[in-house]
Amino acid sequence: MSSILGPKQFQIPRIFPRPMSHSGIWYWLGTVDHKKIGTMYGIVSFFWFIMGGIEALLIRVQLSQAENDIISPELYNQLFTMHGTTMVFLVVMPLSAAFFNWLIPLQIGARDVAFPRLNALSLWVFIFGSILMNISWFTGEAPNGGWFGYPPNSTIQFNPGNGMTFWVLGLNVLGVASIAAGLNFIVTIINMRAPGMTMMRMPVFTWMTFITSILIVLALPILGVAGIQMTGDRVYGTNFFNSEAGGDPIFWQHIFWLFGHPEVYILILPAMGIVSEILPTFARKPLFGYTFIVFSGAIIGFMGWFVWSHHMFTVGLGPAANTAFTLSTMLIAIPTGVKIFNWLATLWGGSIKFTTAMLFSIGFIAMFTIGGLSGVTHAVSPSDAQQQDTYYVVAHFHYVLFGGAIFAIFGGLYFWWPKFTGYMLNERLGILNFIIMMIGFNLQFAPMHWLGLDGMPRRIYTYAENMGWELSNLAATVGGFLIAFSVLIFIINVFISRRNKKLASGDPWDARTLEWSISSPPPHYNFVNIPQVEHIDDWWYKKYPELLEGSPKQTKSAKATVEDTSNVDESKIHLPDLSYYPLFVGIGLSIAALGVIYSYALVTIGLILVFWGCIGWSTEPVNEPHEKHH
Amino acid sequence: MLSNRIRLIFNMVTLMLLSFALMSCTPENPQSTFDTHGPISEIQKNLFLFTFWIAVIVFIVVEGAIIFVTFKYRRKNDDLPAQIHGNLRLEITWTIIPAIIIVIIAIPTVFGIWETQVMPDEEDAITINAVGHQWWFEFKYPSEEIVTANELHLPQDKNVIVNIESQDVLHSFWIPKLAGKVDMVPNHENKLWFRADNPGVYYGQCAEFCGIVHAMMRFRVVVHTEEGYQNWLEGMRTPPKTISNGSDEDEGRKLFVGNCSMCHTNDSYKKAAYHKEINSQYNRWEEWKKDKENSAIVSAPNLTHFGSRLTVASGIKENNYENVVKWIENPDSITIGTRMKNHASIYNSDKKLTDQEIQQIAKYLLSLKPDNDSMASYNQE
Repeated sequence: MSSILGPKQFQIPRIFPRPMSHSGIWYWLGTVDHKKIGTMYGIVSFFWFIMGGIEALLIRVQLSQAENDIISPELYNQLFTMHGTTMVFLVVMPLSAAFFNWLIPLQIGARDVAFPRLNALSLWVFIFGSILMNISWFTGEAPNGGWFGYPPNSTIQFNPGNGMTFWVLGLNVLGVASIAAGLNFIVTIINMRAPGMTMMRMPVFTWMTFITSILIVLALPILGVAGIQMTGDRVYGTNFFNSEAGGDPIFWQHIFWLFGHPEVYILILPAMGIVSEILPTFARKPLFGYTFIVFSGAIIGFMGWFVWSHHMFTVGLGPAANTAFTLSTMLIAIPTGVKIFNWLATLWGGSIKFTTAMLFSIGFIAMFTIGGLSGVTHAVSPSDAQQQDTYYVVAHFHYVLFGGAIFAIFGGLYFWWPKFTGYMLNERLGILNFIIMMIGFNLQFAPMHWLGLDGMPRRIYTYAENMGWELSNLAATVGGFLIAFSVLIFIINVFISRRNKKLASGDPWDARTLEWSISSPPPHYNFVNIPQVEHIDDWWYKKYPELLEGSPKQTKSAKATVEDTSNVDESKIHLPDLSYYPLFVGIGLSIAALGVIYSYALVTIGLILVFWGCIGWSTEPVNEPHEKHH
Repeated sequence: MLSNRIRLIFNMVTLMLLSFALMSCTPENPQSTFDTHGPISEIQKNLFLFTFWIAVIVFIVVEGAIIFVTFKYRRKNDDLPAQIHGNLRLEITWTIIPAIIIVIIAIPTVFGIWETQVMPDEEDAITINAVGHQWWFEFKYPSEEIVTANELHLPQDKNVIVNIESQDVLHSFWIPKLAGKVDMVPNHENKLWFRADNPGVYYGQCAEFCGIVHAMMRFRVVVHTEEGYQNWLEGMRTPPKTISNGSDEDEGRKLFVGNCSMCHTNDSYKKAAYHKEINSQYNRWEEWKKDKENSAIVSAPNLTHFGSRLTVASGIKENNYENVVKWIENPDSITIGTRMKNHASIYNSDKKLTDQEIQQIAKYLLSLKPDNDSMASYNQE
């Protein structure tokens, strides 16, 4: 073992002993296990999902009738700002990260991600960054400039107070988490695949994670730059966006959307990956056109860089720019269409079992199609001049992000829940969850299409009676509460599952990819033996090798079984020990960011924690030598 | 059992879609983009409908396929379906079909962009300067040297070029029935053109989030016949009705001069008043910028011939005695967060106006209109 550790190296003195136990709070704080980290990502972002949902419900209550005054305009502005920010940065991104963490090592046949401690760092930076951003609710000045933070309305000149400073610092901290995680998964996917798993044998979810991670690594630094400029403007008196001093508000829009549009694909590509795993499993057919699905995902990710100004058709870029961005935006419809047709072809001729996961996936295709089609109507920039900043846009992106991303995430939760926890979720409740969410979702967001076409702008806290918007708004509010009810059913389902403890087998769905070849939940080392991969959907063909020969009517009994872990000598499996340094760095970053608002003393304390954490981290051995007795 | 459930879902969805369809198609609503009254909004609507019907076809094909597949291929027995991995010919087909659809949509779109965004000849167009302020619209007619606020008057059948700018934050200039929006951006001058085919009153609203009063930042566009428009212009250069000494209106005038006139001009009917107002507005802005918290002076709407306006409080309330009194008494009762409430000294406790004084000011403001009120011709609506 000493050869792995190398010569005795310098180590800074420890103030706390390195946690060694494999249970209890200290284990969770120090864990570097991708599965535990995935679980924590999931729990924390689900908490923010509920918070963002409550914000949405308050918005809906206020808009349910004309000239309502339940919520003040100031609070309303804070609610829609934080609803958008929360749902994008604290819900869909980290919920996707929960799936990345749980599934990538399992799908590629690895014991962990490439940099387990960096992975823990991403988690802690995300958690404390999300808290940092929401502390603002308690100081009474939550961000109120919109999730897009357009200056000059977000500048210190027009928006004094700390609200938008919390927002921009929170985004910067969260960006660190995302970039670190993105790099981690790129390296993991490139380097840690099991022998035989070529790129074109990777599961589609792994592929989409790979593309998403590249987008994260390229897009989030842009937001970081914009965020630092805005922090400079708000805190240190720079004038990047201060129009009074000649700064340019349009400049912010360009960099924000140069980040913001790839961000849209960061949110939706993982969902497409999830759906691409669920559909073949329950149709008992291979994914139709694997290569086309993978490459259209890559093309979407690539072309996502050339369309940012379609968020800016009305800022006066002139007809030439509007023409260019109209055409580039329309082009994205092609790879998106290809994906939808391939999913349909996967179902076509299949033997479809309507589990909850499958219903959510089919719901995803149905709803995402609507979002995609309304997206094409936006691309037509002359008519977008009527739609821009109206509820039509709100309808469009909720069909993509809720009907798309959230539906797929719920599908993924129902699909992988047995793998994550070892227990089955109740299918009857699951189907009820789906039906109510589907109805509530459409009741909430479909009427917004005509609200927008009927001239209702976004971000207005109230509207006059004679505008004719009341009925649709009331319907939307009812829909919002139906969605909340469906989420409640999911939570109940989780608790029932924990109480009933209906054990899941390693492969309860007769599924296709490697994560199903090990027990549920997987042991902390994942695979007893690293698998040798020979095909796409390797586990499926290991079970039914006769399918490689032809197309028989029936499978014979499975040739492969889930790995048995009863006689494993765990000491032979090399895994890193726990580390609390990532936690230090994570806390330190957020404290330092908070210090930018309140005091340099906090900045100093935060940075000391960061540096201490970094040095401790880089000098601690992967494993404590005395751990290994053999 | 499952198919019954799916049928139930299907029926509910159909029912829902039908009821939604009933909610839509409401061109009589004041900001409906389907009730177009000019070439720009017409082009925008037609392009939308063109794309929409193509989208409907794709929608029916895709959603129809989903419904068909879920009925036809649900699991009936344990037999394995044919294991098909793909089909190159099909893949190429459904890559090309969306590409063709995109081309079909793109061609009229590109024509539409140039038609709507290339400005017409300035020679036979009216040029207007529209300036966004937190939270009201200023409209200037440079060739006529007329300035007004929150109410834009235009002749029918005449091209209008609007130079769009903002004094403070982003706003957006939008008259749904006449033209799609163009943002108002500080340090940038944007242009928009449109033409109104029919006389009438049209609603406009700020569409870019601009702070606490964003929801209440609205305006009206009054389209006249050519003759009516000339009358309006004439009216804007005519002094208001004289008021008799000692009347409520006269008392109101004195109170207005003492308490309101630092920010509100109300005599731009005079010769050379146009440039004076531009200067005053600029100076008010500079004054406010010096101390945004405590400045007693802010940019404020020009109130010349206020009595002839349709609305009070940036297009929010009908312009009548009751609403004007309410507005002066406490702007928060109509719109929370206004600059007037935050800066005008009359809302400081020591300078508070009495109810009677407020009523006198309201009477005075409503008396501000030319003698023969030719401007009221459009009020029939």
